[in-house]
Amino acid sequence: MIRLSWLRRFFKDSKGISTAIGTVLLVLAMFVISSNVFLFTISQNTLYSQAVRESQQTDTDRFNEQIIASDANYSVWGNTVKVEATLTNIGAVAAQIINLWIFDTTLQKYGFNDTITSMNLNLNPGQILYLREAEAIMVSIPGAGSADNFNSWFVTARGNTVAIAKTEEIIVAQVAQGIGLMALDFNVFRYFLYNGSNVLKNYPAGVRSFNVPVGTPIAFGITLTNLDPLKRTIYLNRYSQVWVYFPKSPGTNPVWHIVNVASNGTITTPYSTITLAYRQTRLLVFASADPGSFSKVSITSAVKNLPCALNLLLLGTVGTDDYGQNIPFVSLFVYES
Amino acid sequence: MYIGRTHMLVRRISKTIFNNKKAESYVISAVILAGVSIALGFAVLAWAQGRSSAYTQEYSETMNAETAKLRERLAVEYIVYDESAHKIWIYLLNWGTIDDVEIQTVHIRKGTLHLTTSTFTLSFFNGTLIPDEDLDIGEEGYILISSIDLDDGDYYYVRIVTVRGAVFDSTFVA
Repeated sequence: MIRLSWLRRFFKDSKGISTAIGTVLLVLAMFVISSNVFLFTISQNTLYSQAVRESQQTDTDRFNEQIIASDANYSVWGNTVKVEATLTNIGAVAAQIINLWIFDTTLQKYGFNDTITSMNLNLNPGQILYLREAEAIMVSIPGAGSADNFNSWFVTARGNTVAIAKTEEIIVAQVAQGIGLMALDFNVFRYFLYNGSNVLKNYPAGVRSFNVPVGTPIAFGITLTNLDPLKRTIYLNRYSQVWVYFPKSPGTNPVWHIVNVASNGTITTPYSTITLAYRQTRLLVFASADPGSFSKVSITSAVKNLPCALNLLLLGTVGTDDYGQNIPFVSLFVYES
Repeated sequence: MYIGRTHMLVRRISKTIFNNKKAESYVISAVILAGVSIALGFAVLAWAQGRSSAYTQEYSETMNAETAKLRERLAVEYIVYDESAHKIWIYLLNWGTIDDVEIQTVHIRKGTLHLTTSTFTLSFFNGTLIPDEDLDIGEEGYILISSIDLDDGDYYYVRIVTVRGAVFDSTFVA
């Protein structure tokens, strides 16, 4: 009853209607505007919070990125330093290597290779990458020498730097001292057949075997590394050779002299001195019956189905000193093809 | 019958309105007051809308700038000082998630020594100048600061400040 009379009085009395309309409009306007501002502020804050989260995640990923670079090996070819290393991702996130820096502490010069992105040096967690031989990274440092000392580090796509730990040099040097100045790689011993008068077939892969055919001209491929503790360069002259010894046929001792080989497998003459800088690994080919020139060598059928010992005879200079070394290398079995 | 009744009602209302001068003035004043109120209301609405638009725009710009700043990341790959040439090279990588990272100033500090410069060149690692003078995502480049005199062998702090206001620190030995 009271409410009815109040409503009736309200509608009958038109005096306050403008105030009411104005108030309602004002309140409505304020409500709409403040709602818009509030919602906009909320949306902006959400975007900002998201950016903060992304930023924190980026930093977390960076901290979680852990790469170990080990087994560093440096060899110098002219003005180029060849870096071999092993990369292991021990972190929880995938990583990409984008740059390699080298500092030559002897020369006080630095260099980098920022084109290694094309090599796809990407590591999943737990993955190991071996950067050896063809996968080794080249960095140009004008004037660098094989006896120089180097420090190097990789840079990842997240901006982390990974210093490369060097191989324990003293152990390598001791081993090299025990057998001479050259380290031999038994695992990659190979021989070559010919694909013409002076072209090696399937060079440089060759045939990975310790069984060689009789009566067919062959050449040998031997991978050596210069590990001279005094870090000198070794120069091999034309008398360097491999020779085999048959215990059951002592008079048969064929020899294969060192030769120069072009990248397509062609043997070039006359022989020009082959050099191995300190820590440089190189595939050497022994093919010629005569020193300095080229004539094919085959194993006589008189020794078919016999085992033999292959020896490596190296002559030349190391630094400015004379160098001569004979190393028993691998055993072969000569079979009748 | 119905039309006649309606006609009588209209006549009665008209008579009431036009014969009652007092009621006429009430209506006019009410209309005027309501009109003024509505007009004022719209004016206030427009003003408030304008103010809120300006606020939201300003807020949006601030938030965008802060967000962009958050996304900036620069890593210092290497710093080289050449004592004889009095030059310093700072090799950088943009590993963040935003393009156009432009460097505003470089601070070099050691104890009380504090050098600040905005005069430098930004080049790619191959030596060519970066045309847009900024580093995009994944891009590497170096800053070359000339005519700078540092003490050989001393330890220095470097601070790189970008145009967006992000700060990146590193150290080096001259």
